[in-house]
Amino acid sequence: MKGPAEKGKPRGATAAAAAARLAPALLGIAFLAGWEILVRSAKIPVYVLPGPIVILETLWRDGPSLLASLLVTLRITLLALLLAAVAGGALAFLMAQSRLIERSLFPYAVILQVTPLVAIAPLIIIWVDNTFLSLLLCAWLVAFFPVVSNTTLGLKSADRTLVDLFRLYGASRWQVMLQLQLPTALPYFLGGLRISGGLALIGAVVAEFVAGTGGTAAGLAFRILEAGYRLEIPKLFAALLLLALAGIAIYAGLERLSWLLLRRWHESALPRER
Amino acid sequence: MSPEPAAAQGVAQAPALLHLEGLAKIYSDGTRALSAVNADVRRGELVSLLGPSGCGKSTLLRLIAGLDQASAGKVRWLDDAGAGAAGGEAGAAGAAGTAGKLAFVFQEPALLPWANVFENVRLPLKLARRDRGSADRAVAAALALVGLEDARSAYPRTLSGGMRMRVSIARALVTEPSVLLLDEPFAALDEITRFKLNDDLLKLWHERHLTVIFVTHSVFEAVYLSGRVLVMAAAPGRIVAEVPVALPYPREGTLRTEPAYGERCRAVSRALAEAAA
Ligand SMILES: Nc1ncnc2c1ncn2[C@@H]1O[C@H](COP(=O)(O)OP(=O)(O)OP(=O)(O)O)[C@@H](O)[C@H]1O
Ligand SMILES: [Mg+2]
Repeated sequence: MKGPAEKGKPRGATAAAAAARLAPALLGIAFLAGWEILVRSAKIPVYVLPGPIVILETLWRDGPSLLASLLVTLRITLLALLLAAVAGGALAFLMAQSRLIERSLFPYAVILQVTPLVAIAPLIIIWVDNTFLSLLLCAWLVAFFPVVSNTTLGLKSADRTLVDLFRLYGASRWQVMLQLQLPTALPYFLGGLRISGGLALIGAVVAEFVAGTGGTAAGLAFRILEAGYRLEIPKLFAALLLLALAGIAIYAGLERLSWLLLRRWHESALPRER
Repeated sequence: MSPEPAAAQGVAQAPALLHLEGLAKIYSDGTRALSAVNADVRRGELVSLLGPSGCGKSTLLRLIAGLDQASAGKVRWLDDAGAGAAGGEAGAAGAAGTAGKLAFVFQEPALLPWANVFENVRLPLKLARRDRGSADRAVAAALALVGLEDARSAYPRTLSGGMRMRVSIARALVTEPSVLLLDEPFAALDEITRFKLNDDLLKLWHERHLTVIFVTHSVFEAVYLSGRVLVMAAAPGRIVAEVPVALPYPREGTLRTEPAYGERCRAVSRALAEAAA
């Protein structure tokens, strides 16, 4: 029988955990305070470097309109990420079927990956009539490669002894694929997806920059451009802040997904015993 | 000394089950892992392959299982145990034909990390598309055999090394094989656990009328378990001596302290030393 006092962790460990959680927050607050003090004491004009308080005020004031733009960008980002996961996973699966297919396709995936998006985005925007689709395509282009390359690696990483075991029991290629290679590749796929999450957001923003779409369908990137032209620097910072928060949220979401799928067995998701 | 040495003698008279003829293996990088290996294994026998690290024990076992192709020579199964009804050579096709009859316990437990104990043991039956009900019964029986009924829903990472090895053995037994190949299965375990699993293995061998080929680099383990020890030497890998272990079955832990056991161990050690010289 465990008394309430014995339950859970010892007090020292709890304090350490709390400190570990608080440390980054404290550092952030100190940084922001230093920034505010610097801006005020050196009398730096807002159109050069606004202080955090001004930025927050702007965010509060322009929040609704910025949020609408954020949603536009997020929609493209998430859709691109979803398509990258599906297409990337499918392409990796296809390439795992035969060496020939892999040899034929992989170089083109690499070419797509190494071509800078800013260089081809104008072309895509000219070729694809629909703005939304062209932006989506740009974001997808940068997002899909990590999924493809990681999943391909994962599909090839099945334990050799396990492959022998499957062979010994007369497993078909299909059984090896479904019951051995796919589960082995899952953590790799999720790792690729995490990289893709950030890239999709960057891709969407870059494409919006190039497209320069205004009006109701204006994404956050356009608002940043606009604010820059008008020297509304606090608004620019507010938009940047939102963008960063969106990036963090996407990353955290994907990390959570990864944990949910792997928590039972994969090293990356195991709690550490102390 | 023994009331019934019949078990060992019965084996001596049993027909050969497996015939190795001039087996050689040269890996693609030029390593000569085996050369001219000749041996017979009789039905119902428990025979050990003993030799230093790198002498080709695993290679030989893989050839027997049909997991690799021999560069020369033949693996001949003299009944349907190894290579299906045809009784032909074990090759890649032979390995497929052996499903169910031949089981392999690898040097490491080789469990699926994403599957729990029950699912891991069920794997061979799942691959053979055995129906769910009979598969589940077979898995439960195999788990009971190795004493892991209570761990059925545990994941491999939460098990001790000895328990993992037992899962691996249960998985090998679940298809009710007649031939069991074990590649240094207990090498990574502590001695206490190893002794326990040795006794478990002897019991299973006896109860299930298995033919067992047991690879080890422990003289004591080889002598304790087997009716015959095949001593191997390295570079190139070959069988250099055959030492019979004329100790009666059933064997128990007390055997380890008996003079007769020490005597046999010395004989095998001598053969091993001569092989190395
Ligand atoms: N796939 C391979 N390719 C090339 N050489 C190999 C391969 N597998 C084994 N060898 C070589 O063949 C020889 C025999 O290896 P094997 O694994 O059969 O030895 P072993 O007796 O099982 O050793 P251990 O007791 O350490 O497991 C070694 O020299 C090894 O380096
Ligand atoms: Mg070996």
